[in-house]
Amino acid sequence: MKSTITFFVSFMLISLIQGQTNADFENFGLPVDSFLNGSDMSGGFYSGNIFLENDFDTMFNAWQGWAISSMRDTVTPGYMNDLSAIAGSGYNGSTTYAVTFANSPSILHLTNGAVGKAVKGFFITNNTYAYLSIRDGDGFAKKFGGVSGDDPDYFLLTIKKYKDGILSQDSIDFYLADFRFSDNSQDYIVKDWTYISLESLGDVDSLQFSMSSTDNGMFGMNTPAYFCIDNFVTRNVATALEKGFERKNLAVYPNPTESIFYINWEEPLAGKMIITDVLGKQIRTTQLTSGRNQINISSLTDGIYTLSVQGEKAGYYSRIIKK
Amino acid sequence: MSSGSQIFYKGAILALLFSGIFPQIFSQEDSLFHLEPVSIEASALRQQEVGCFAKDWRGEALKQYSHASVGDLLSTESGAFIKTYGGGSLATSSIRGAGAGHTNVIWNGLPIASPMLGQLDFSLLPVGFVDELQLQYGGNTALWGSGAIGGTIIMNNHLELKPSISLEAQLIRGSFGQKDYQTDLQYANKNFGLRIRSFQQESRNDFFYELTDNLPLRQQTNAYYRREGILQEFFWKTNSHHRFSLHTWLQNTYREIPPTMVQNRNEAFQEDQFLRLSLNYRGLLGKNLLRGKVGYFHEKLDYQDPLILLSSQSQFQTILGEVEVEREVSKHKIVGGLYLNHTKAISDGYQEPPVQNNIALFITDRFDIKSWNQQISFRQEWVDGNWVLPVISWGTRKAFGNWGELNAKISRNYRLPTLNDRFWAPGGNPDLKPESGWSEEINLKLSPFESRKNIHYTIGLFNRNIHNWILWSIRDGENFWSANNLAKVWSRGIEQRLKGETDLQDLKISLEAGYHYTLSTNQETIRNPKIEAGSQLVYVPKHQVFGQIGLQWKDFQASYQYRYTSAVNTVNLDILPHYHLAHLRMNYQWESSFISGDVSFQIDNLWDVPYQVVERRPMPGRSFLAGVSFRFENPS
Repeated sequence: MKSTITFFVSFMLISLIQGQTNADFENFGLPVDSFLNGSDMSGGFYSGNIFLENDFDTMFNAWQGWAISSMRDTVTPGYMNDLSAIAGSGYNGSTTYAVTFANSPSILHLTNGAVGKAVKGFFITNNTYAYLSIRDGDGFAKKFGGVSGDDPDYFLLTIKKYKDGILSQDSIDFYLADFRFSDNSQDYIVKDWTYISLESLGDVDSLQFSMSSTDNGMFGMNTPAYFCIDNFVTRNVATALEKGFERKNLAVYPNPTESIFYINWEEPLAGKMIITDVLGKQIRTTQLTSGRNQINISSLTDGIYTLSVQGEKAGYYSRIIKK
Repeated sequence: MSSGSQIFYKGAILALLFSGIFPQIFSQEDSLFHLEPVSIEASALRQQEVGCFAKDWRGEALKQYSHASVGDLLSTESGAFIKTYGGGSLATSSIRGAGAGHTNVIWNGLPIASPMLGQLDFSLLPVGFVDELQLQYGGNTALWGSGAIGGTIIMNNHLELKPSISLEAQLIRGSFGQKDYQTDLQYANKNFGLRIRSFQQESRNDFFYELTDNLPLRQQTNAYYRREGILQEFFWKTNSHHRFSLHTWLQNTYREIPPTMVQNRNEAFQEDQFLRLSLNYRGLLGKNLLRGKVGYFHEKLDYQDPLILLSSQSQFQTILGEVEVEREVSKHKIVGGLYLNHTKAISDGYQEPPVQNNIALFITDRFDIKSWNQQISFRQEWVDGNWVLPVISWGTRKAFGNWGELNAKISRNYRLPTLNDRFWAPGGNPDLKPESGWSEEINLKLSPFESRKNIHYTIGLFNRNIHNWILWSIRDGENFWSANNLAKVWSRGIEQRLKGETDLQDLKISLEAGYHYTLSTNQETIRNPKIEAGSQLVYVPKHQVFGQIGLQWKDFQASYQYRYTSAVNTVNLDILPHYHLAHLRMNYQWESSFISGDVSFQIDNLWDVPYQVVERRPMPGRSFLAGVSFRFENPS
């Protein structure tokens, strides 16, 4: 325990010196074997200089996007155990990490001083449900390798960046499982926390995480589209220098709406509002002036959109449902 | 035992007691009247509809399948595609390229498909509990109600009221630890009859199957199943005008869910329990022939998967009834009827237990125009007070001497959304419309050799369009699966049959062969689920060939059955290859004054063909069955 504390203190000091911020999700203070799945309707989670979207459906009691977890179950297969990391803890034995269900691409937003700057990287591992499904198969998905063990299966994470509302074609691929080797003994499923460097992406506003697999059906990918991240390090002006910068949820009403919604912008200076779709694609950019702002989205197709507003001293996020 | 189970069993015991006591109360003989053992469940206008292509099984044709399920029989002999997950596992139907929910199943005049799923597991229907089985091909919603789109399967129970008492017992042993015990006790006098049938089946079902050519065989695990059931029936003829029957069917099935071929292990299992109770009446009231039946169905499903810590229970209760009046008016034979259904379902998947009330009125009129038989039918249904689209059918038949017969039919049909489609959370959609569309068919039956009328050839064409086909899908702007009226499906095909018999001195030879060509295509491209316009529906084979050759020499019988199923599309975007299957059955019967018996031996999958009906679900190779049965009968 003592060495762990020493490590974190050292890490944070180094981060501050180098202008880095580490999103390690320990700021949620979760006790072990618990989770935050957005049922408090917070709309997402802030840690370090990132924001992870969450969409919780009260009617269906189901979450989309991201969740925060300290679950340690590495043995129970199936979707009932969709919030555990196969590593059994966060990175380096820490308590807390983030989980995403990326059946459709998940979006990670940079915030504060990290926006528009290069990203260092993060640690990743498989979710327990996905890992055991790949290893053993389940009622829907095949065990990788197939009946002979020779099927060249893979489970791939593709990371792309958004910068100024444009999705780059450059990407970083990471195989969470790879059974394409001619020598089956080299086939692997990621079980430990593994570092992915994102520095090759250059400057970033947000990241899009897409998953693909060789096991697909007419209902989409059979392999459970989950993975876990921890210690997401952004390169930025250190948070210590950004005193007074607030992170709030945006007050949007009425929500859902068929056409018009309003935002009360309480900042003295203008803010920039960006509407993005569920894939992270920028749909519209609007300047907000101090006071009540009316936004018309009647031209958008029905669905869920993300609003992000960047002010001088505050960043805001919310969801708007167009129906 | 849970309170739910206690209620279930108390209800079942009461039902059995009730049907057992009933004959004693009314066991007074009336020698003045005699009724022929005819069906009392539904009018001939419904079971022998003009223009409708149908196939029937009775007597020996059923007896050779007494150890099997209705699904086994249909897959072998009918041209219906039975999508089975393996021995003892779920088996659903696809008739004329339709879906599993497009087969209506009628037991003693009442529909028994699950209102939650809109379909029936054919592995849970033992042939030994059926006295008359009929498959009506094509749309028939006007006469049989929601779901009769691909076909209608009618199962009836009869007892001839001829004074006698008999007891039959059958014992079967087979490969993979299969054991099957059946008993059949019958008592009848001229006015009353009591019949009690029971069965118990179990199998380890741990067959070996082939993974690939160069790998050792793998043994199936977690595949044990056990079924037991009892069917108790009481038949009562008060006089020549009134006949009652009471049927109580109680069944329990425990089955383990084996792993797929690409799954290391599975520990899931499920238990299906049901009680089906029906009281039927047929009587003459003046010039009217009145038929009535009421039923109470209670089904429970308990699914457990200890590996993933999943426990799921569901159940439904249905009270339903139907009354129909048949009479002749001028040259018209008319049947009109009223159908009522009240259903309540309970499941973890519902936020509130849904309750559904259905009312339907139907009428059918048979008449002749010159030498053409005609039949027109109409049905109007209401669900929870809301109008369902009216449906109509018209059929015609023309006989050409002894050598031919032409049948044609056009009908509008529908399938109501199931309770799961409407109320499952997440994704249920209470605003779903019924699936609906028009069906057309024509078939020509030829008996080309007038002096040998036992050779028949039939060729038929059918065409069907279904709109608002319900699919679970992810709609644009949504991120969860929900039930939607999305698909349009066009089905069409050719069906051919050849049937003949001949005698060579003491040797009787029979031949029956069929070929079905079915195109059933999606007419629109859908993004999620991924469906291409023009693609053949999954698990609908384009080609099916089936046939059997039977030999009978004195008391010895043998039959060889063959079935070819062409490749099918699957949900994992793979093509499941075609397969040829053959079965060989031999039996010897003997009979003395009070006792008769039968010894049988059967080889299934005679050529040991590795095959899958559902992808990743292996089927057993060559297997054996041996059985013996005794029947004691004392006519009085």
